[in-house]
Amino acid sequence: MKLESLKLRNNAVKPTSKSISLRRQEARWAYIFISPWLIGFVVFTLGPMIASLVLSLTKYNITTAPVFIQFDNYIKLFTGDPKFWHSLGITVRFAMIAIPLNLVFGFILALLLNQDVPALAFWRTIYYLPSVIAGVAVAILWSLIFNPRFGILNWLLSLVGIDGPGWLASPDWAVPALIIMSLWSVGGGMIIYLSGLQSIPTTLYEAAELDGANSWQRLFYITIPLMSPVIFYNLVIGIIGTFQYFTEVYVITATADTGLGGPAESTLFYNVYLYSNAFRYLNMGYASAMAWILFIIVLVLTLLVFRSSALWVYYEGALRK
Amino acid sequence: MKRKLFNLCAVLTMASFLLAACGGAPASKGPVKITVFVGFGAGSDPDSMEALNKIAEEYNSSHTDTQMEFTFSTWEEHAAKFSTLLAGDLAPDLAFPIGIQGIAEFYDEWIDVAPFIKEDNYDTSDFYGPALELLSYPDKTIGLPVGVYPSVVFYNEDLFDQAGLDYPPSAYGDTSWTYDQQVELAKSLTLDENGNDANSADFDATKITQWGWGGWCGPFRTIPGKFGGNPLGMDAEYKTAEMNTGGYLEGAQFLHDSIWETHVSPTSEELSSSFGGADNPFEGGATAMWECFSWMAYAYPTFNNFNWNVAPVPAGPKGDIVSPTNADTFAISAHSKNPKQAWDVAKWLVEPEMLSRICGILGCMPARKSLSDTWVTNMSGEYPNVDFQLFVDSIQYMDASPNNEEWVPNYQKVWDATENIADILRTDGTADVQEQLDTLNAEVQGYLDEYWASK
Repeated sequence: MKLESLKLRNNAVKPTSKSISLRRQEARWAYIFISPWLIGFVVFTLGPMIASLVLSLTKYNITTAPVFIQFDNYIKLFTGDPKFWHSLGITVRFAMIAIPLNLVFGFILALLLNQDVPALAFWRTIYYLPSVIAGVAVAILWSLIFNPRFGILNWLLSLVGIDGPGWLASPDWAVPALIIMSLWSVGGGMIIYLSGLQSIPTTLYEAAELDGANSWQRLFYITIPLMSPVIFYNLVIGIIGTFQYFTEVYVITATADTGLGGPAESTLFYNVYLYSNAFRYLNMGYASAMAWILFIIVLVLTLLVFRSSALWVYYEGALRK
Repeated sequence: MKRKLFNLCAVLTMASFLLAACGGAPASKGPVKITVFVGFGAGSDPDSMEALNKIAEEYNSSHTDTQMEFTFSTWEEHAAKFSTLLAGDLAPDLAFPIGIQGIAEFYDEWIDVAPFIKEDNYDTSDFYGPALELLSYPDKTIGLPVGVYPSVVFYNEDLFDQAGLDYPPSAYGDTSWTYDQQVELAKSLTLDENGNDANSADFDATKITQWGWGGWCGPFRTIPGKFGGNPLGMDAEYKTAEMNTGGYLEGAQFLHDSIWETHVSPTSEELSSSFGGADNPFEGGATAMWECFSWMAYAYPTFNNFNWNVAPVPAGPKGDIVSPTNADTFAISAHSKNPKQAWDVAKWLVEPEMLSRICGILGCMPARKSLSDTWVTNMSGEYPNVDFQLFVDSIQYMDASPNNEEWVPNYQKVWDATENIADILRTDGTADVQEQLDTLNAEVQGYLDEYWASK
C-alpha cells in the first residue's frame, strides 16, 4: 500500500517545463552567489597551483623567462640533491614525534578538563589561550625561553642540578626544542577533543558502571572508540600542518648567526629548504617541484589515514557492512 | 526579455569584477615617480623609516619633474619581497642602501652607472678609493659609495683593568699585534666561574663565564684573507673551488682552536642564538675583545654598562692586515622605466650634506673623504672615550678586492654552504677541520659546476 502511494506521488511531481525553468533559475542564482568565492578560488588557489605545476617543469629565476626543462627538477631532487633528503628526513622525524605527542597531550588535557573540578572555565581558558597566539610571537617567546644562558628553561633545570643543553643553538637539541615548542598550541586540539567528549552520552558510562567496568575500561571501551572520529580529524590536520612546518623555524633562524635552518642545518625543514630555493637561490621552478612533491606526500599520507580509518574510526550512525 | 536582462546583468557584474581585478590606475601625465627600495641593508627600523620619509618629502617639495618614494622591507625579508616585486613587474627603480651582498644576490638586476658618471662628468675623487674599487666589477660599475663599515677590535676596558693588563695597541703599525698575540692576551681574560683564567691548570672549560675574545662577528669569508687566502675560496675564473687548503684551512683551524683548544672564544651555544642583543657576550659585558664591523654603531648605546674602546685589526701569520668591510651603495634596477631619473635621485642622496645626514640615519661612516673629520667629531662628541679616527684609518686595510661579500656563481648556495661549515666548527669540538673543509669544497665545486653547466 505504501509503495503504491509513493509511486503515485512520484508520478504527481514529474517535472514540468515550468519547474525545470525554476530550477535552472535557482541554480543560476546559486552560481552568482558563490561566484565571488569561485573567482577567488580560481584566481588565488587553482590558478597558482596550475602555474606552479607548469613552473615545476621549468628553470625559472624570476628575472628571466622560464625555460622548459621537462622533469629535470624532479630528477635532480630525487637523484642529485642530498639536502632534499636531509630536509625531508628532518620533517618526517619531527612529524613522527610531534604529531603523536600533540594528539596524546591534547587528549589527556581534554580528559582532565572534562572532569568536575573547581574553576573549570578558568583552566580551560588558560590551556586554550596559548593556541590563539600567532606563530611569530610564539617563536620569539620560545627563543627566549630556550636561550641557553639566560632562558627560563635552563634556569629551572639548574634548580634541580641539571646543566641544560643549548636547545635552539645546538644541532642535537634544536629539533627536540621545536617539538617541545609545538606543544604550545596543543590547546587547539584539546578544545575539539573536549567538545567530542561532551557529546558522549552519559548513559553509556552509567550502563558500563552497572556492568562493573572500571575507569580504564570505560576509557578504552567507550571514550576512545567514540572519540575516534575526533582523533582522526586531529590526526589529518596534524599531518597537514606538520609537513608545512615553517614559520617558527624561519622566525628563529632567519635572524640568528646560525642562518636559515641552522644551527648546522639541523632545522632545515622541508619548507625551509623550499623557501630557500624559491627566495634565496631564486630557483622558482625547483621550488615549485618541491611544493608538488610535498603536496603528493601529504595527499598520500592523508589517503592512507582515510583508508585506515575503516579499521579504527567508529562512527555511531554509520552502517557497518 | 527578463532572461536577457538577467544575463546582461550577470555578464556586466562579472566584467566589472574582472576589470577591477586586472585594471591598474589610469595613466596620468605628471612627475616621474622613482621608487626606492630600502631593505638590503639598514634603514627599515621605525626611526630610520621616519627619517628617510622626511628626506623624501624634502626632495619632493624641491623637485617638480621627479618625485621619490621609499618602500621598506626588513632585512630578513628583503630577498623575498624584492624578487616578488620583480616577478610582478613592479621592480623598484632604486635599491638604497644596498651592500655588496645585496648586489651579489641580484647581480644581473643592476645596470651599469658608468655611462651616467661619464655623461655628467661626475667627480668621484671625494670618495675613498677602496670604496669605489668595491663597486667596480669587470662588466659594470654599480652605484656610488654611500657608507663604509670597516672592522676594528672592540674591547672592554673594564675587563682589562680588572685583569691588570695593558690595553691593545691604539694605532696601526705595531707589528707585534698579531692574532697569535691576541689569543695569548685573551687567555688571561678568559675566566671560569671560579675566577681561574685559561692559563691556569685549574681552569674549567665547561664553566666559562668570561671570554677573552669573541672571535669575528662577520661571515666565515672574512677569515681566510687574514691568513693569506682568497675570501671567495675559488680560482680567478670561478671554476674550481679552493676551500680546503691555504688561508681557508688555516683560518678554519684557527677559529676551531680558539673555541675548543684555547677556549678563548665562545661556542655557538655560548653565544646563544641571539646576535646583537643584550645577551650577546660582548654587549653583555662578558667578552674582552671582539672584532666587528663599524655598523655595531646601532649597539653602542647598549655598551653603556662598561667602558670600551677600539683597537686595530691584528695581523695574520703572514703579516697581512685585513679589515673586513661592509659597504653601502645604491643600485639602479634594470627593470626601471626611468633609469636616468633614478640616477638623478641617487646623486642627490649622495651629495655631501645629504650623505652626512643619511649616514647619521643608517649608522655608516660616510664614504666621502670630505666628511671624515665631521663624522669623527660628531661620534667623539657622543662617545668621548672612543677613538673614532681608528675606524677611518682602517679603511686603508679594507678587503676591497675581493670583498668578503663579493659575487661568486650560485652565490647564495655557496654562501649557505660556507656558513654551515663555520657553524659546524663553532658547535662541534670534535669536528675534523680538514674533513669538514673537504666536504665544503666538494659541495661548492658542485655548485660551480651546476652554474657553468647552465651557461
